[in-house]
Amino acid sequence: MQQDMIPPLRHIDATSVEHAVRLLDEHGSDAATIAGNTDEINWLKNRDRTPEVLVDLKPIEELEEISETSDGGLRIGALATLSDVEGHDAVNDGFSLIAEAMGEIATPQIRNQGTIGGNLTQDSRCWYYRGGFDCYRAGGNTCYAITGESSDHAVTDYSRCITAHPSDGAVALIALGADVVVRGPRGERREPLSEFFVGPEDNITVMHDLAHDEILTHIEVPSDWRGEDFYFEKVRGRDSWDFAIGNIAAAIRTSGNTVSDLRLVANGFAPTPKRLRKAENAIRGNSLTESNIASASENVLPNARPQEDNEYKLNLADSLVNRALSNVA
Amino acid sequence: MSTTDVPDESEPEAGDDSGGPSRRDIIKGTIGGTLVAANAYLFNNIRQTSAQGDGTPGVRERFSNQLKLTVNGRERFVRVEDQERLAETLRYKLGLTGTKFGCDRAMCGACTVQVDGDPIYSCTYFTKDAVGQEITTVEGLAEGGQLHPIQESFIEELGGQCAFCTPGMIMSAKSLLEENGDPTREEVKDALEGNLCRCGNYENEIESVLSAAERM
Ligand SMILES: Cc1cc2nc3c(=O)[nH]c(=O)nc-3n(C[C@H](O)[C@H](O)[C@H](O)COP(=O)(O)OP(=O)(O)OC[C@H]3O[C@@H](n4cnc5c(N)ncnc54)[C@H](O)[C@@H]3O)c2cc1C
Ligand code: FES
Ligand code: FES
Repeated sequence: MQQDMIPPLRHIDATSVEHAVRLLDEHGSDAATIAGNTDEINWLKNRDRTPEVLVDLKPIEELEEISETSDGGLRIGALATLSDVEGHDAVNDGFSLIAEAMGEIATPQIRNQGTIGGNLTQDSRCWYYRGGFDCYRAGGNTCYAITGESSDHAVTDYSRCITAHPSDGAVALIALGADVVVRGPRGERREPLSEFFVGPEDNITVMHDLAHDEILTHIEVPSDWRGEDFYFEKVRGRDSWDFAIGNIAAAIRTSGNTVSDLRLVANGFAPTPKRLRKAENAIRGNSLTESNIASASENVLPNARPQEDNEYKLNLADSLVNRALSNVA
Repeated sequence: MSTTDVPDESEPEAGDDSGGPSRRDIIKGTIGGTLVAANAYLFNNIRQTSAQGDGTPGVRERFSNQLKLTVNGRERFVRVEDQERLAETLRYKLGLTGTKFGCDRAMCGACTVQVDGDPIYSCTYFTKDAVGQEITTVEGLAEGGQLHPIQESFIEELGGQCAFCTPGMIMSAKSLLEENGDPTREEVKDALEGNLCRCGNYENEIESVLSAAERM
């Protein structure tokens, strides 16, 4: 059954990034940006957002390209679809961690339409926030998940709002040390993807630091971790469609059986993608013996303050680290 | 009507020769037929001036405020609102009701159609975004009254129980078999993972696709 009609709006095709930025400036908060429109359209259907103008980035071809950079890294246009990224040779050749994460997102239909940029800029999946509750994130003054159902929510690093970050793509890209490139009215800026995400302590109403009139144009992956050992795992209720209850992406460099360096990044545990530094530090410089792995994967979220119904996530995080390290050993 | 004798989408007005037109044919005929007739009358002379492959609007579209869509190999001219979704256009304006609305939230797959060969959820896809691309719906599979092998297999392997999910399942299966003519069971499962079946008829759906692969 059709549930909702989207209220009338104007859909404008942006012809360049500059054009998109101009349109967003001109129409201010009456405008919203769309890429694949798999996420934004639901807000429109629910009439939780009623922009008068949609600025569509899809026609900007420059933003779709995926290519190897001259120094052996990767440059991924924010408008590349999740399927395109998953299947691209330059991604699979040395950066298969990204392709693995892409393949676990949602369903083939969503991967054909949703973009990698949109996967990073997607909004919180908290069912209260999405359901129209007047929670902190929506500008109110309570978190319904704390008093209500919080089994999918964050266990650490939260402040008032306990939403967990939902992206599978983000963890793989952060594990590989990716940067994001952003263009706005004042030109271009670049930052590590790990700093792109914003937790509720800094700003409770957003998930990332893009201004209204800024466009995420590219994701750049350095060659640093090219061809190293990778591990990606996503735990979810059903084998398809569902967001991660918890996920992990690992990039591990070994010499012999000793870990010379590694990055472990997990989502589903905190409001922003979480570097598991305690576990990283415990195993870095050590060999991947069973006992070293066991002690490195103990209590990997030392500052966690879970709710009663998401305490299970602490064991989950430990297990994910254990499996990531054991897989390489 | 025998199982292989389906109305051909390229003639939406066509009735059912075995016992008069069905209710569905009349509804489809009325919606499709009226649009086609009005279009033909008004725009016959400027057909060539309509948009070419790249989706840039031609004279016809600009004068009539219509978009040109390529649906099941045919050009269809239709007035579309900016916020209109492809499932709305297909069902309510082009009379192609084989595409279903299930959840209307990208959460079930009943609305799956192909755009340029890739399966997408038409409940979650602006019609405007399909301009210049090939749209294929379940109505586009039968040829000359002959069901497509995937459709035949879904009948023979009982791939549909209530069959509400079937058109979407078939479109996902079609996308798979176009890329991979000899899929494993696992590959079929992966290809159907974006289509829910409320009847839980998954085994038969998987069997249907595997048997279709053999027929094709
Ligand atoms: C049913 C469903 C299941 C899903 N499951 C998963 C999952 O398991 N794992 C997972 O990681 N994700 C999942 N997702 C999220 C999915 O990855 C995103 O919806 C998709 O990638 C968003 O991309 P888009 O191009 O469609 O974004 P849009 O819907 O077009 O945009 C989303 C938001 O990002 C902004 N935006 C998009 N691109 C840019 C840009 N380049 N610059 C600035 N702003 C931008 C838009 O303004 C909007 O606010 C799921 C989504 C759905 C609908
Ligand atoms: S109606 Fe489109 S996915 Fe359910
Ligand atoms: S056969 Fe009934 S929903 Fe699939």
